[in-house]
Parts: sequence; structure tokens; C-alpha cells
Amino acid sequence: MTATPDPAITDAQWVRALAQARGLDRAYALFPEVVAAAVTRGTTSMSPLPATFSPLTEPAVAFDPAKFEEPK
Amino acid sequence: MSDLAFLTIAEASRLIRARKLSPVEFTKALLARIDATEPTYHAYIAVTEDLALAQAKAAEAAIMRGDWRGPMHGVPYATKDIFDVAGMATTCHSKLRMAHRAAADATATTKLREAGAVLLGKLALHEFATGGPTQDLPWPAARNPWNLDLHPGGSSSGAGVAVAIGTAPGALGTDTGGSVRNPATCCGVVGMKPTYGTVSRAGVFPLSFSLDNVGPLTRTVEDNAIMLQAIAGHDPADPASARREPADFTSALNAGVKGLRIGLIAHFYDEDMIAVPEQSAAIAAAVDVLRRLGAEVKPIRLSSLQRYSECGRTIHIAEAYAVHERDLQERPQDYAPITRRKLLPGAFIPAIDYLKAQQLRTALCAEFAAAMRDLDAVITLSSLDMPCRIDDDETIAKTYERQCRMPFNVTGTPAIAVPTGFTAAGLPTAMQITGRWFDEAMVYRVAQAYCEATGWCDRHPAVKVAERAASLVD
Repeated sequence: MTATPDPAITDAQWVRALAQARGLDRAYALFPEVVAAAVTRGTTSMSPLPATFSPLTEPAVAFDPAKFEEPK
Repeated sequence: MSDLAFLTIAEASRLIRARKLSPVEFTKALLARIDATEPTYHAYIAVTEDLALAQAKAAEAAIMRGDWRGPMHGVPYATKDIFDVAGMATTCHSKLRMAHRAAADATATTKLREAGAVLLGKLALHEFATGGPTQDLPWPAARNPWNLDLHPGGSSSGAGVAVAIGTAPGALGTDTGGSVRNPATCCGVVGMKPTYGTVSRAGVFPLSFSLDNVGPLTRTVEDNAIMLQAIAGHDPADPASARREPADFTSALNAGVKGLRIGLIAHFYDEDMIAVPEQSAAIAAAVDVLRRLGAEVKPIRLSSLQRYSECGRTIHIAEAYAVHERDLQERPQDYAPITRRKLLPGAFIPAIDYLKAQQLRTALCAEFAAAMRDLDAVITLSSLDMPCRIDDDETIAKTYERQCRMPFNVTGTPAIAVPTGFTAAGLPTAMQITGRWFDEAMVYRVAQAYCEATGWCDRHPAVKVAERAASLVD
């Protein structure tokens, strides 16, 4: 069985589906053009984080400029 | 009062230490000037008058006892409203943060408090350090001090304006893709983005974890070095904080540039993108000045400006969305339209793009390190355009893509913006000076030699003061 795009699915439906997948239903309902423009940059990735997770957490792999320093 | 308004940190410090200038009188004079200029310039979101006077009195008492702590003791400053100050809202210039109250000071403000500095207040910015000048927020946008109709640069807009008009001798900003250097450029002052990890970001609301930096804006290079010295240093509360003692940023300041090898990245602004003639002519004249001072200036080639910009932008957008996802899902209407437009694309950046950008970043850092092997410093433009009208959203969006600042957020190297002159319309132009990782001292040395030779840092805008308070100011 091949995955063939359903011609009945419109761009608006696709954007809405992506927005919903990212939890942006409210943003799409209020600002559909803005969300449509944002969708042009990509697709879904991470699952929603648990409610106890702080969005200010520093990533584990931090950029380390000292790696690139060369002795004078 | 006008003399006090444009007193540099270094001059004020010398006078305060010699007990010829009272920190209390200095602070009162600046508070009066803030009162007189705010109706026009909107640089401040909150003025901490009571705190400032209490800190100034404490500094004065200590200095009179002979307990002088260093060059920031008794010197006023202000901070972008993205730094925590205990008991105050860190608004980030956003409706979303009006109810916030910080439990403690940010590390940078703690260091300045411990150095005896006096906090005048918290400054306007682009919403969450990423939006733009807009009237859709609870506080007005700061205005360009050289022409009130124009954009003052951002995101540390209030910092650039306050320093330029003499309502703070120095200010703290943050820089993720140029947010210290852009307002410095547009306002005709000096703005430093130090090496990534030099200044702790603990207690600073993040925009993009791996690109964010804290940096000072001042009217002179010497003041900038003094302020950076006061806030630099390892902080275990910031996972990216560099584990090393800060270098001495001021001792080699006046060593000159004779014999130094300086690279010129001209292809960023005359090939990859084309700068306006005013900016190009100004940096060409700056090259002549550096050569006359004895530096060897030679063109170098790096990857294209677009390559660096795309790398930084991809990381920035993805990381910023991680910070804001919950609020964009639950209350997107509370962001200004310009901020929503900038943040929402991060929801749809594929993981592979983010990883590729981080891989590319490693390659670009290696490229830059190789270029620096035979060089002491590098110069290039800051902005490719002159500031546009503050209400021209479309042009503002374009100018944010046309700049040479993001490359040094990608490399994490120090980069300073300094004025290179003024156009026929009276607007400042600027260039950047960058160097090796953690070699801020060399960057400052080149900047100091150039600024001393040209005197561009000594020029101030004609400041408009409100009539009701004019008597307090003059």
C-alpha cells in the first residue's frame, strides 16, 4: 500500500492539523494566517512536556566556547 | 546638571573616590533627568527611586568611611527589564509578565550591588527580547535619541536610549542575535557582547539558551570595560558559565594598535549583502584610521553572512519556542502581534534542522578559529542599513535580517559595536570589533584606540526635556 496524499485535504486543513499537533489550537483559531506562515518553516517534533517541567530549563548539551579557544 | 548627565563612569568614579562628587547628588540629578526626559524617550519601564537613593546613601557613607569598593561604587546604572531584581516584576516588556515578582536578584545585578553601584531603574526592550517596537504593549516603545521618529534598535532599546541621552552612564543589556550591539549602533553608543559564558545569565529571562549573553552599554569604551569587569566571572547557577577567572579588561586599554593584525570581513557587507553607502563609507574611513594608527588591516574571507545568519536563526527560533511554548498554547493573544509572528515558527522547526544548525555552528567556529590564528582582531559592519521609521514594521523586519551581528553569537566570540561617525542627517553609523574567545581585552584595546583617535563617542544627541521638569535639569 502506498501513501498517497488525499487530494481532498486542503492547505488550511493541513495547517490546522499541524497546529493541533503542536497544541496551538487556540493560536490557530485566533490567528490562522500567522500560524499558516509559521508552518512553512517545518513540521512537528517533540511531544508535549510534563506539566511539572519548567520551560526555563537549560539544555543538557550547552555550547562551550572554551573548546574553540586556541593558545596565543 | 548637563555636565553630570554625560559624566562617564570613569570620571564619576574618580570624583566619587576623591570625595568631590556625592553619589547621592549624582543619583538625584539623574533621577531628575529621567523625570524630565521620559515623556519623550520612554527608555524606562520602572524607576527605582527609593532603592537608588538608599543605595547611593549607603555608598556615600561607605566611601566617607574610606571603604571604597571599586570603580562602580556609588555609580548609577540601569538594567534592561529582563534581569531579576528582588521584589520587582521582571516584565520583559510583556503583558504576560505584569504579575511576576522576582524572589532574588539576577547574578549580574547582585555583582553590581556588591560593587556598590546604584540601580536607577529597569529599561524598555522588545517584548521578551525578540519582538519589536510596537504600541500593542502595556508600555510605550523607546525612541531613537537622534530622531524621535526612528527605531532606536533592539532588543535592549531602552538601554541604548538611556545611555545616549544621559539618564544612565551605563546599562545592562542582553544579546542573542545582536540585541546589545543593535541599539548601541542606532543610538551612537558602545555595546559589548562578551564571549559566551563570561557573564552569568542566572536570573535573566532566557530567549535562546545557547546564544544568550549579558553585556554592557556605555558611552565610552573605558566605561564598558569597567562595567564588564564588575559583572564577569564564573557562576554555578548558570550551566553555561565559563569556569575561569575573568581577564583584566582595562590594564591594556591604552596600549594602542601599532603592529596589531586586524582582519576585515568586507564580503559580509559588500558581496553577501550590500550595505547602504553611509555605513560602507564609514567603515572604510575607520580602516584608514586604524592603518594610520599603525595597525595592519587586511581582508579575510569566512562563510557567507547568510550561512552564519541561517545557523543562528534556526537555533534561536527553536530554543525560543521551547521557552514560550506553554504560553503560546494557552494565551497567544497576550503577546504583541510582532512577537507572535517571530516565536510561532519555532513550533514547526524539525529536530533535524536544529541539529544541523548546531553541527554547522561547530564548523563555523572552527573556521573562525582558523582565521584568527594570524590575527589579533577582526572588524566588520554592525548594521547594513540606517534606522528606519519606528512605525514601519515591514522595513524593521527586513533590517533585522540585514545585519552582521549574528555571526558572533554563533561563534560565541566577543564583539563590540562602536560609533564610526554621523551621516548628513545626523544619524550615527557603527562597526563591530571582534576577537578570539575570551580576549575581550584585545577587543577593548582596538576599540579604545579607534574611539580616542576619532572622538565619535564624545558626541551626544540634543536631548528634549519636558517643560515641567526643565528647571530640574538645567
